[in-house]
Amino acid sequence: MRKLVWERTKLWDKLRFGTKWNIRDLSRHKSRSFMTLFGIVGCMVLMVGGLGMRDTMAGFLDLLDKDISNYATKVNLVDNADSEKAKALATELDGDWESLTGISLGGDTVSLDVVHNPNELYNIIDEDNRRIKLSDDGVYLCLRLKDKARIGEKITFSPYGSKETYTAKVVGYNRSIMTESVTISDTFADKLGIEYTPTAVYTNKNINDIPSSELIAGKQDKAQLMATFNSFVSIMDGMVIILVVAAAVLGIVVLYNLGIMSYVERSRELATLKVLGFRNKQIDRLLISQNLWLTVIGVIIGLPAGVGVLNWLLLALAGEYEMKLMLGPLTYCVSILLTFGVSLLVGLMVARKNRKIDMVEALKGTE
Amino acid sequence: MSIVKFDNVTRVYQTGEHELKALDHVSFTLDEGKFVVILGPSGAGKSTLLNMLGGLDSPTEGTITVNDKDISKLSDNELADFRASTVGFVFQFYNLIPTLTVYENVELVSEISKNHLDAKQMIEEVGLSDHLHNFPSELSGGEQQRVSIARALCKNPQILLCDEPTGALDSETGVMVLKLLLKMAKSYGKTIVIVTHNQSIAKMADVVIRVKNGKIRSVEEQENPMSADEVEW
Repeated sequence: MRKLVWERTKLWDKLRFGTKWNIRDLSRHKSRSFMTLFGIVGCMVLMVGGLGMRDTMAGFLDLLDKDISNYATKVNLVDNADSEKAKALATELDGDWESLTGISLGGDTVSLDVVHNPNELYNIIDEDNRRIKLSDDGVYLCLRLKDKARIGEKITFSPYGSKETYTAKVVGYNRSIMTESVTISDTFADKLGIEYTPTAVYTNKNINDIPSSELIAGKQDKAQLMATFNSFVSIMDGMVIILVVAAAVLGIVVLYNLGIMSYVERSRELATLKVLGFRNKQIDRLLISQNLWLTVIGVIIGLPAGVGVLNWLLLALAGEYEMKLMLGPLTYCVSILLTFGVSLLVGLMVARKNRKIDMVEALKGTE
Repeated sequence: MSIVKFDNVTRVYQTGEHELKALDHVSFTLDEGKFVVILGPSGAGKSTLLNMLGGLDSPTEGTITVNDKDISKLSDNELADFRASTVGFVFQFYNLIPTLTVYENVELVSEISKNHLDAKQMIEEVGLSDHLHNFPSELSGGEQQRVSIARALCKNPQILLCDEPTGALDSETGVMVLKLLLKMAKSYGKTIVIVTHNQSIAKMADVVIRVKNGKIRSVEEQENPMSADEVEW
C-alpha cells in the first residue's frame, strides 16, 4: 500500500484510529468512494433541481402577480385608437397605460414598449426583480438584448414599416417576461418625437365596473389568469414530489448497494475489530461516519451543481421568459436534510448487517 | 488459583437437519500464569473450546467462569468488553487490519482497553521497531504474527489465546515466533492457552489438555516442561 502525502504529516499521527481507517479505506477503494459520492451528488441535484424549479415557478408567478402586473384588469385597446382619447380613458380608470409597437433594431424585429405608469400598476423590473422608475433620458433593453449595447452606449432603431430612425442612449436593462423589447417612458418617447398610441390600459377597477367604450377591444381579469397559472403550479407540485421521492429512492438504492459492497469487502476487518473487543455501536459509528463524510462532500458539490443544472435548464428551455432562478431557504434545507437522512438511513441499514457478522466464521479461511 | 473454569460445557451447531456436537460436556479448570496447550486432531473441537473461552461463542449448555464471573450468558456488549479487557487473541492468519500500519494496528487497542500498554514499546519488544510505519502486506508472515502478538499483549489482558499461532509459518520461523510468544507471556505474567495439533509444542507446556471428538481425553500437568531449545522440531 502506498502512503498518501498527508500521511507523512504530524497531524496524521494525531488522528483517531477510526478516522485513519476510514480515510485509508476511501482512498484504497477510489471507484467505490467516487460512486458513492456520485450517488449523493445525484440525489442532491435532483432534489435541488425539483424543489428549485417549483420555487422558481412560484416566484415567477408571484413576481408577475405583485411586482409586474399590480393591477386588477387589463383593458386592451383597439388598433389605431386615438391617442388623446386613450390617455383620457386611462385617467378615467385611474390607470397606467403602455403602447407596444414593432421596431427594427439592428436588423431584428423587437417590440418598443412605451410606458406611462405613475400609479405603478404596470411595472418594469430590473435584473434583480426590483421595480425600475423609468428614466426620461434613455432606453432600457430587455435581458435578451443585453449583448446589443452596453449601458451608456447608443442604439438606433426605426419603427416597423417606417423609414425614420431614432437614436437613444441605453440607461439600463430590464427583465421582460414576455416580449423581446426596448422600453422607454412616455416622456422620453415625446422627447424623441416618436408617434405612438396606447395599446393597453391597466387599472385596479373591477372588470365589470369598466364602462364600455368604442376604444376597448377586450378586457382581461388578472385574478382569473393567475388562477390558471396557479393550477399549473399545483400540477407541478405533484411532479416535484415524485421527483424528490425518486431522488431519495435512487439515493437509497445506490448507497445501499455500495454500502453492502464495502461491508462485504471489510467483513474480515470488522470481525477482527469485534474480536479485539470493539462494541457493535463503535463499529456502527465507524461505518456511518464514513458515509456521513461522503455525504458532506456530496452535498457541498451537489448544491451548486443542482443550482447550475436548473439554471442551465431555465436558459435552454425557458429563455424567452427571462426567468430568474429563485430558490427558497426551505428548498436548501429540505434537500440537505433529506440527503443526509438518506445517507444516515442507509448507514444504519448497513450497520445492522454488521451485528450479524459471525466472528468465528469470518476469521476462518486463508488470506 | 484457578482463572478459568469450564463446567459441563456443550456446544451444538445446527446446520439444517444435522446437529454437530463440537463440544460434549467438557469440564476443566486452568490456573493463572500457566502455559496450557490444547492438543488434538483437526475437528476435535479445540478451536470451539478456545473461542468459547475468549467470548467469541457461547455454550449451548453449561457454564464458563473466568475470574469467578460467568461469561456464558453475557450480552453482546458485555462480551465485547470482556474480550477487550481480559483476553488477547493470536490467530493462525494474523488478522491484522491491512489498511493500518504496524504501529496503528497495535495502537488501536487503546480505543477499547483502559489499562493498555504502550504500543511503541510492545512493537520494540517483538523486534519490529524498524517497521513501525510499514503496512502488514509489506511484512513476512513471521513479522505479521509478531505484530499480532504485540497487539494482543498491548491490551494487557490476563489471558492470551492462540489458535495455531505457528500454523501458517515455516517451522524455523514458527519456533522463533513461539519462543517470543512464550517469553513475552512469561515476562508479563500472562496465562497462555495455545491450541495446536503440534505435539512438539505440547512438550513445553505446564498443562496439556487432549481433546478428541468434542470430549476431553486427558488433562496432564507436566512437572518439568522442556524449553524450546530442548524440543525437537
